[in-house]
Amino acid sequence: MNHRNYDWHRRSHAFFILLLSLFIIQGCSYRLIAAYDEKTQEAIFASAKAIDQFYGFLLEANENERAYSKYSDKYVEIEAQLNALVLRNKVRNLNEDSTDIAERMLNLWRRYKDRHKEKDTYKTGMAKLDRKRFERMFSYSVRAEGAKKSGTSDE
Amino acid sequence: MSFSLEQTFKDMLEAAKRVFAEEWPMVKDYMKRVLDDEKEALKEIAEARLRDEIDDEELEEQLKDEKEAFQAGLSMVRVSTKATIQRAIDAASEVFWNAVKAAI
Repeated sequence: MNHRNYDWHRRSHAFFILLLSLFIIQGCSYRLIAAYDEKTQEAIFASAKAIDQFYGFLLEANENERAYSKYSDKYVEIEAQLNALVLRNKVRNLNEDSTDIAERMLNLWRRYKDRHKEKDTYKTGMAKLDRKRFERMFSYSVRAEGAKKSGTSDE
Repeated sequence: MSFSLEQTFKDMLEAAKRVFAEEWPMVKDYMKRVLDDEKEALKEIAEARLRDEIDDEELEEQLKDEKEAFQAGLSMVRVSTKATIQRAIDAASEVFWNAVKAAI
């Protein structure tokens, strides 16, 4: 009787250890990237739209009517928007690559702002190329965020 | 200033292969998309220079900025690759967990 009791206790103890291990394994499932974030995706689209609109209005004006002062408010507004996007990416764990894309867009935006300020105009040829570059970089940003959705494929 | 689109594209492809090394077969498709984008962008820059819409100094600026866009593309490739691996890990872990639950 005592022997049976001891055996039962030993088995239940082993079973408990097994269950505990499985819960730990499941809880600590290995992660390589941050989880998808809907708010970030929305922020990317909002920034992309703001920059596209900026270039749309800029290209509507004649080249000799593109003084920096006319656009400075928009530059500051969009810079703040991109800064927020960088921060939103930065505070998430395992999110270095998406942060990198956002930081590169912010750096380019600042570079174009400084150039516009220095030259006090924005050439059409340059504006068209810069606009397309942002379009492309935003599409990378959207794809990167979208890829984090579980069970989805980018293809 | 001389500018060879084909040579630049080749150099970029080689650089990408070096960065990804053994992961290259897995990232190839994502990279192809980025490289095609890059090729198109470089073509447009070259055409803008030929049409005199930008000067030599601006051409250099554009190429410098393209490096940033290309690096952003590589970051997108890294995320997509990690996401593929993550999905495989999640799927394998689910199978394992379901099998254990069935056994219990």
